[in-house]
Amino acid sequence: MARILVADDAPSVRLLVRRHLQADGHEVLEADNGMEAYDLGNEANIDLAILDQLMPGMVGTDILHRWRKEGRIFPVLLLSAVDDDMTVIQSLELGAADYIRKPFSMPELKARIAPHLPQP
Amino acid sequence: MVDARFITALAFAAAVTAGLVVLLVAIKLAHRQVERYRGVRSAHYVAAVGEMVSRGMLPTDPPPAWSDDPYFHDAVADYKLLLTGADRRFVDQLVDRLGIADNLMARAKRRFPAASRLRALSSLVNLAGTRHSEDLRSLLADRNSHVRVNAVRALARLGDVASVPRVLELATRIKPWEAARMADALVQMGAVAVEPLRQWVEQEANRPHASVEVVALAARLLGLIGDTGAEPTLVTLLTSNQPDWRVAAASALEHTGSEAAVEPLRRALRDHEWRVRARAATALSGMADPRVAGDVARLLTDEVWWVRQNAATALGSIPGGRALLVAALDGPDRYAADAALNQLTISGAFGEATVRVANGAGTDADRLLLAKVAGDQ
Repeated sequence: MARILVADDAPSVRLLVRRHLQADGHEVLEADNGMEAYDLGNEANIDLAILDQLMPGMVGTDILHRWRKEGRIFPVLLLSAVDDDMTVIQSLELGAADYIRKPFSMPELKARIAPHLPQP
Repeated sequence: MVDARFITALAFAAAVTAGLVVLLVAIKLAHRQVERYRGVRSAHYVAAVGEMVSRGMLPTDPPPAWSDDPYFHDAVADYKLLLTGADRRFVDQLVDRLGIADNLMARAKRRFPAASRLRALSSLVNLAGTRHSEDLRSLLADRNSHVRVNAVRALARLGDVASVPRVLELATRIKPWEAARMADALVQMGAVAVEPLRQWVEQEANRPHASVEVVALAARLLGLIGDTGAEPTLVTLLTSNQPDWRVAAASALEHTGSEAAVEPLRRALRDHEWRVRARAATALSGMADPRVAGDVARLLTDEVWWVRQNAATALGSIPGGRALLVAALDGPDRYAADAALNQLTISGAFGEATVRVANGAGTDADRLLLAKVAGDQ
């Protein structure tokens, strides 16, 4: 079981991802803005984060950049409707484990998360 | 002595003001309550639909209000746009099971009230199915321009290619803003729209009283979609008698043009219409064909500033073009030298030359460029 942060300003995304991850036995923390996501990543001892790129407060790549600068190395997946190659490249260069474009399918999202979860 | 009538009038005005303030506060409070109620209802629907989608379970006995409630429709559309694959198909099944799209279509086809029709249509853009195509097409003849625009957006999302010629016909009779919105929708349709667009352009361009603006618009759409299937039509349009069509074709070939478009675009560099020459130079810049560098460089001495500027910018991208820009610095034409110098400066060539000269590896061209920039300052 892993502790996963899901940060997205859209409640539909948070709800759907939470339901699926909880069904697989993971603990899910939620944030609806960038600042809250950043704080949870610092304080909540998480194993993996799924961040929306465009969130109020702070964008996903900025959060990732700050976490990496502060030495937090848990895997981060960006999940975003921003379909711009430069953003994808920037995220991967900053150390994102993956970049998933919206719209997405839940089986695909779970398959992309799986390799980055701590092994039991 | 104060006039008693004045005091009465003052008291009356004060009473009216106080009454209005109370009324405004009451309206504001009521509005806040309504907004709060809507927010709660929306959140409930997002949660309910999310549960259904994540469990993959359709409701056996759904509340009848769901199929009529715009907030429920928004929640369903939210999930539909978020998901792909089996999850999206599930949302479609939910829309069908609840009869949402049918209800919305019925509402959209009513004459009144207009706000309700528009709300229904904006939901239909995301929730309509292919069986609603004919009804949506019938709305293209509606008197309300917003209804027509939303009908086109819904048809485009469905990929309804049969509606493309009808939309273009309509565009010849409506206001430019409406045609532009419809054009955006057709671009969203993507590659499937190319064939009907192409056929319409070819047919319309040969009519004696063709709409100049709409044929040009359709050509630009072909460019924005960016499919090479449009290229023969655009190349033909590039030689038409109508300058606006040639301009639109040259612009579109910038996005769709393959090697086959190079020669027609090279000929277009000599077009008597300056906008065509400027556009053709820009289009050729993306093709990176060194054979056209000399032809584009000739436009550095064009009589029109825009053409010279576009030619200089294009030479920055065409292999061998940068050397021609440097050569133009020392040429007899002052305008060509200005355009070349401007392009070499903004493209980073000046910075690179500075570094090479500083490292003792500068060429004559580098030194010429530095001298020209220094002279310009």
